[in-house]
Amino acid sequence: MILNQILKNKKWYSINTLGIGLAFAVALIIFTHVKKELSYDNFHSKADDIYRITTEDQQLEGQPPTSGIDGRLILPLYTNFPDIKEVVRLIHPDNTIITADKNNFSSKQLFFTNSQFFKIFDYKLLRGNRANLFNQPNQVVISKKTALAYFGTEEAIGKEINIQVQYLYSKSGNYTVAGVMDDFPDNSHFKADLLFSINNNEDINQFHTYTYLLLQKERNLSSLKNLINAYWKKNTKDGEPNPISQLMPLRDIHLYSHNADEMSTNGSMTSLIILIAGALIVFLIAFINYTNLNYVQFITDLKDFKIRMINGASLVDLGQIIFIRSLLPISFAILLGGLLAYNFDTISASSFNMNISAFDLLWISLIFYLIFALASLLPLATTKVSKDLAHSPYQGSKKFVASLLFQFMLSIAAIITTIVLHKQINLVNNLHPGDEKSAIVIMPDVPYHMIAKFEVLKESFLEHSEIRNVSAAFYKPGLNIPFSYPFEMEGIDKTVEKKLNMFSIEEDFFKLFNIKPLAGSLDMGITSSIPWENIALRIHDQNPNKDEFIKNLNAYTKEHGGFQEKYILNQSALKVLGIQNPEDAIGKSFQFNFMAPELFQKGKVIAVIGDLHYGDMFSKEEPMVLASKNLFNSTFIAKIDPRRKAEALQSLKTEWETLSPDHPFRYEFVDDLYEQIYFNQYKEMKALTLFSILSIILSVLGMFALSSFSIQHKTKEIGIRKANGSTSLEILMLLIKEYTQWVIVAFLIACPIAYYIARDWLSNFAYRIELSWWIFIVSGVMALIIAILTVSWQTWKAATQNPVEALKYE
Amino acid sequence: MIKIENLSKRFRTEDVETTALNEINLEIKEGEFVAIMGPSGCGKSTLLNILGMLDSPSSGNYYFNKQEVGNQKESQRNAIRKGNINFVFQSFNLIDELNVFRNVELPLNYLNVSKADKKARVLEVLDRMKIGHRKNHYPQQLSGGQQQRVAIARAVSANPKLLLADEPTGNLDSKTGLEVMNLLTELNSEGTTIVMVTHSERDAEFAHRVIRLFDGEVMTEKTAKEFATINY
Ligand SMILES: Nc1ncnc2c1ncn2[C@@H]1O[C@H](COP(=O)(O)OP(=O)(O)O)[C@@H](O)[C@H]1O
Ligand SMILES: [Mg+2]
Repeated sequence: MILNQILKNKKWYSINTLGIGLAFAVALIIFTHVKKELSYDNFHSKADDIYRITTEDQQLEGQPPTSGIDGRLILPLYTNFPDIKEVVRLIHPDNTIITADKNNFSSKQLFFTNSQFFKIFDYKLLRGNRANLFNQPNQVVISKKTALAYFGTEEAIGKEINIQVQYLYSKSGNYTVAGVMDDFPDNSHFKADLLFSINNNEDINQFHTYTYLLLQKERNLSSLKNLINAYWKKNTKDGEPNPISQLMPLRDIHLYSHNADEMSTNGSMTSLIILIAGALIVFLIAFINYTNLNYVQFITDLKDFKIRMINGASLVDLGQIIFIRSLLPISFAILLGGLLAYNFDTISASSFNMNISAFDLLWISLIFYLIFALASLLPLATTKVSKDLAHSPYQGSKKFVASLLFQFMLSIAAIITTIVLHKQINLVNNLHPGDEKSAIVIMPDVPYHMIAKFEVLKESFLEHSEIRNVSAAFYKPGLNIPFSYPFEMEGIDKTVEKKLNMFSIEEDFFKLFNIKPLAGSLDMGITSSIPWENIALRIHDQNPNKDEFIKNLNAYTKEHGGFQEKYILNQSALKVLGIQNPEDAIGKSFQFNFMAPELFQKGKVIAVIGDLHYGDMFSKEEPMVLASKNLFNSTFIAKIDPRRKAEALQSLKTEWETLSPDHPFRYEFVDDLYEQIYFNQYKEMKALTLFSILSIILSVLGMFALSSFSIQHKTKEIGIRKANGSTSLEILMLLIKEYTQWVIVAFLIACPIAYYIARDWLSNFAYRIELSWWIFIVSGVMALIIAILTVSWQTWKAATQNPVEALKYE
Repeated sequence: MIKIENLSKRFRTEDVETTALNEINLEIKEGEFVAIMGPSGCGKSTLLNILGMLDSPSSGNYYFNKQEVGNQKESQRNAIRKGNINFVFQSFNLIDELNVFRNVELPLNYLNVSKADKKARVLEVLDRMKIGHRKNHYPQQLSGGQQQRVAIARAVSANPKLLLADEPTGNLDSKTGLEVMNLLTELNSEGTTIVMVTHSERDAEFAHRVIRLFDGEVMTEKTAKEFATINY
């Protein structure tokens, strides 16, 4: 009997099954994702008492603070504050070479830390004795994955690992494996593969140290912060800014912290809210379709229900019939949705790592059963079936106007916000330098011995035809690292204290990124060499042999060919300097007042460029002065032939390893770098696009079914009209007029909502697209076209029918 | 069994009010076979629906077995109707998704009847209506006469005291119509009270009594025999 029902109404059943199924899949996926995002660092038994301490950055406005603090601020925390039970330091040095079993490795997930790490965090130890870890110097704890990679076995206790650290030289040496930990869980805000020991109160003057505090259960956060601030202030030299402490609960880091130098890309609460809202919208649209079609179904069945009542059925009996009937399509939907959700990674070609728990699957299914089965009873509850049993009046389609309006509104809002997000991401991608970002390879954090060999390496790279340009820069794209210094410039008032950011580049940087000057020429000619820079760097007031060095330098400069320092300004710098016309800056003399004053010689401004947008777009472009100091250029850049990617990568690797067998070749593509930076925004964009498409598909299906229903009931009216001389086109126009009205009303409601959401989202960025009116119009027109096509499909069939046929049909 | 006093029914639709029944008085005894006749739109169906408690009067009283039911709540009326009253319609009103057997079983489903008794009862009624061999067919597979026989089978399967028939032969040819009338007469002779609306003078002759309605009012009440003499 149920099967009969379904076969008879297969169009409506399949629309419902698809709608509920998609909503179910979305609910499962989003729930699992949100649950994971909210579970970050929950697994530590002391999670509620662990805080990360950072300092408010007072150096530069508009820049996010860093995630670590100055190492010198940490040691006092050990002893002077009763609320602090333990302090854990995590130092992540760049430029390390690891040797194990005679093989070289590099790892991004390595830290130096003190033994308290294992007391406050609950990362699982597989081998070794937790209580004894790091009670001897030079121990290392590694992850299972690392043990397998380095030694081919988990049984790694007692093995030796050598590490060479460039900027933390004293910590270089041999370390003994004292423990093997399980790989860090996915919901840990950082993942470590190697933890090298430092002494608990070892004084390491590391500028940037991640610092975690275990606090007493009974604590007063604000007074603790004040005490720390007061203590730091007392110990700060006059003239230096006072650090201001910030304490962030461990469990909040993943969703709420967006500092610079996070240990890994964090999630964001905004993303979660967007995802949840999107899921709700899909659910709502599916639910509306369901209730509408249910109502239609109910009207169709009303006569049968009345016959049943005449034969003695009660409302409860009818409810039972409807309820049981609804279970089969819901079951199909849940099956479909479950399959979609479990195969989401394959379907979407993404790596969400969906780990849907059986328990969640069960209770979410039950909720879906309950909601939709109960919703199937709605028409019964709201229609007086038992009243006027003798008559079954046809209830018109007025009832659906509200829900259609709502669906149109959601669809229009979804289209608008999707366009805005795509446009903004597009803008950001275009503002960042480089035409083909997927063909630009970055070799980050190059060690000093390779920086010194840059010229040789560049030449050998360029011997390969698939490698088109090679250059180098201070740091990698996406970073905004402020190195601001006072300066002197011809025509600029010296008494006004201003600072400009220094960014160092190699001479071919502009060619590689295809950057054209606004004024002047970007030809840097001869630039300073590394040996010269090495000498210049040592000339400062603290150096006792200063005068001798200066003499050496001058001699060397002559020998070197007498190069002239050249500076290039960006547009933001012009603004700071108050120069209107870029041409006016060309030829002016300029000098940085660097701590080593000889390094940046007095030179000329040779060019002005537009803002580079090398860093991320969350903050405004800094006023920048570009100069070439090869010693600083620890990021190598190569532009390759996009059609010969694999070949090019192989060539880069081979040439690199020829020159530096010890230091492994590491690379990243620029497009990936930027995508990582906008990880949350990309995620939001992709999710919203998906939700928009789903919403539109579901709305169209719903509209299709509804219009086919109302056409079915209008067939007679159409027949009469035609018999009276109306043409098919006129009839179609009538219907289109009706739908157009609804779309316009929906459009008027959707616009302000979408505008508000879009503006809020855009406020993340320092550079935003304009919310131009055409985005809104295009979205509205799209919705209108979709609506008209859907409705016309049905109407045209009915309208072109022979009027006699139509009249007979009733 | 049925007593109606000053009963009126008015319908309100948007701007017009129609008086379908106007101050009607009527009595029907247990075991009677009454025909209601009159021109289209005079209120026959409305009266039948009120008698069957499918609709409620606008004013006046309706006593069913001495109990006032006209002004009862819907649920009350539904409870009284259950098992006591059933209907035969001009358009059969079978449920398309149910086969013949299930259609006939319908009223028994909502009474406390054991499965075995139900089956026996349904088969018995189907046999009486000479439609037993079609018990697994669906309504669309049957002719009009067959469908009406199934409808009558359904109407009497729960042994109702009162059977209300609204133009039961209206959609049938005269031969099948005659068969249906014979079935109704047979049921009546076994004790079922029948009230039937009809346009056909021939069908009315099967009844003990004919009530003529005109514009919502009872014009004449005569026995079929009396009519027969008048008409000749
Ligand atoms: N549900 C209703 N709503 C409004 N008017 C109705 C309704 N049912 C019947 N009527 C009106 O009441 C009058 C009597 O109808 P009805 O009892 O069906 O007539 P009959 O069965 O004698 O042809 C008619 O004028 C009809 O239009
Ligand atoms: Mg009638």
